[in-house]
Amino acid sequence: MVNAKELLTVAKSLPVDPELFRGLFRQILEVRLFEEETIQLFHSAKIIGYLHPSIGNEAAEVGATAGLAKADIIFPTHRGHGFFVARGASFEKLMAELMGKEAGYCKGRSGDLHMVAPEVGIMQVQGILGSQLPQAVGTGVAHQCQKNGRVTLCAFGDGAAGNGTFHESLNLASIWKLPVVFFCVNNGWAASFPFTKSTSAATNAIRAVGYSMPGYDVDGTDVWQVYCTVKEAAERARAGGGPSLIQANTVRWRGHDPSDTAPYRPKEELETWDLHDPVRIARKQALDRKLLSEADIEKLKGEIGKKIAQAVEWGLAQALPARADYLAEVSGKF
Amino acid sequence: MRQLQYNEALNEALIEEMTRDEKVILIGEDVGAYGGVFKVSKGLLERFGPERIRDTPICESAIIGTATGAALMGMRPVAEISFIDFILLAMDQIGNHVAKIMQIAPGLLELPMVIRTEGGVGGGIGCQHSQSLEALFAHLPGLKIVMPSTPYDAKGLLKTAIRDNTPVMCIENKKLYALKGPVPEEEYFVPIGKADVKREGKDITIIATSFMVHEALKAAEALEKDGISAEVVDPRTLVPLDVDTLVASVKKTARALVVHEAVERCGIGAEISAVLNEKAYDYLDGPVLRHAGLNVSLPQNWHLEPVCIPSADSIREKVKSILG
Ligand SMILES: Cc1ncc(C[n+]2csc(CCOP(=O)(O)OP(=O)(O)O)c2C)c(N)n1
Repeated sequence: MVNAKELLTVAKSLPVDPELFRGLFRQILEVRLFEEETIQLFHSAKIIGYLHPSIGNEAAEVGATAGLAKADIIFPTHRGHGFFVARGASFEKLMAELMGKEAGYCKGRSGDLHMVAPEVGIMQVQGILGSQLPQAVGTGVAHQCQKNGRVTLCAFGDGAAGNGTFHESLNLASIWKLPVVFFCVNNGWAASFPFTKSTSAATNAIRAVGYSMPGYDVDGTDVWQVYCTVKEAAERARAGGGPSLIQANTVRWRGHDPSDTAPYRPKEELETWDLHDPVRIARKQALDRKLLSEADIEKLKGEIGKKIAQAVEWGLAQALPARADYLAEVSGKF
Repeated sequence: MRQLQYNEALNEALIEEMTRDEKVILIGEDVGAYGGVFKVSKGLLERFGPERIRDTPICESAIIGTATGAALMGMRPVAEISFIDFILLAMDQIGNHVAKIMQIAPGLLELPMVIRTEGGVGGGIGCQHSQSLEALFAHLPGLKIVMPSTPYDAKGLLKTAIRDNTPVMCIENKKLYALKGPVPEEEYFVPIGKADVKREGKDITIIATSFMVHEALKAAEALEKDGISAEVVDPRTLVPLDVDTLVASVKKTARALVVHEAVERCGIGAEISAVLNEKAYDYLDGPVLRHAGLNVSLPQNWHLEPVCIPSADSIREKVKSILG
């Protein structure tokens, strides 16, 4: 048996920067409060259709985004609102899009499953699992040709890694030494199928070895660890050192989406979710390191809550796309 | 008669065929403990065990390829792809292999496999979970394609498909799974290649597929108030198409409208229209017309969905414009 640990790379741990950490904590909280609100909106039928909340993945999404430069490109997963929030996307336009309103990021036509926000460097969410990987490789080709110094972070789930595109993309990115960071968010589940049954490796990170790139297996609930790892991988990519593969391990909160009661999940796992709750973990880290006080956190919560409430109110007040206008716009065009 | 939901009828077909024949196995995502995304394989894991009910990782191409390999060895796999949109990832397996293997090796190999999948617009879930791609497969000689519109047809056609020694695709519709209808307790089969006249009429033939059969039936009822008697024919099987039944209906009504949810361009309506043009031209009082999905990538927006697909109301209007 191969010792998995020996095959993995461990990122250099950077000293915690108080200012940066406070910012990351704020973003983690933003993602959480944003998602708690979207779930409410889903249950009150203000968001209709698909919704894949990022709860459980906040630290992974926020940490990964922080490890990149502003001009770098992100391909989020279908559970990827956290990337949008971490990139500073407009809460108003996000909410409006999720509600199917004309004022949303994609004129209310893309919703949760196909959203895109080029203004903050975020490529389209994919409803087809794994299809983003070769496209991310393609952006890497463009970065290389354009010598633009940019890097692409391509996120995907542990489930999506089952598809052939995962292997094809890693190989291609490696032979061409492309500036791509493959970021697998393993939340333990792909719909009803657990990681332990779907994946023949202890961690996808080991697979990096076969594609001649570094593989990192990190605690995806530890924002600083994720940040340091993505930063290292992104800097290597930027310097011409080629791609890396990171698996960030998180725990999925409840069901696949708000309508899934997850009867297939072991009770113990649901009961111990608190231990893996990125908000609790980041909060404790902030308090222990004396970067924030309880009062600071309460104040922050109030501020963010207000900002989200305003975005919701704004979104609700926006118009749905008019059917006649839509018809006139698309008829005979495609 | 006993009423069953469409997904329950499919479930019963699987149970009966798996009980009868150990060679029948199931392969797909979330088909095990979860019982399938649309609950068609509910309870099967408990009943038949993990060797026959195989939950897979997310790997559509491998699902179809694996089913193909198992079928080559004499198993009778039923592969499930929960949304037809994901089948595009398995297009090589289906287009270059499943459809062709028996023709490449005439008389040497059998490929007794079924691919179950579904399509259709509903619930605001967007362009990668709502397509109706049946025409892509009708374009690949070597596949039989059934599209049951009722629980009765679903059970009868799936049983026939599983016993068929050639590849059959069973394309369902997400809006049909909860539909209830009569399903006899005793065993029965629905033949592949046989259309069904769902309603008799004399002024126009509405040829509708899958969920659109129900919209056409509603439209036909409303059209009665307009003084129009519409016949509704459900081909049930797209390949092979029951041309005789379609021609016989058109002979009677002299008018035909094809309705489907798939986008209009190169949809199955184009094929049906061409066939009627060739075989029933002398009986027609006007061109065969189509009423189908808008040629567009469906927005993920429940509010815009009705603009993109036909409904009972739009079918009624269309028929009135033809006969008006
Ligand atoms: C190609 C493809 N196959 C199947 C699906 C259906 N599906 C949507 S999400 C999902 C589970 C995804 O798991 P993972 O990639 O681990 O991401 P998670 O939802 O756990 O964040 C499945 C099976 C899909 N959207 N695309």
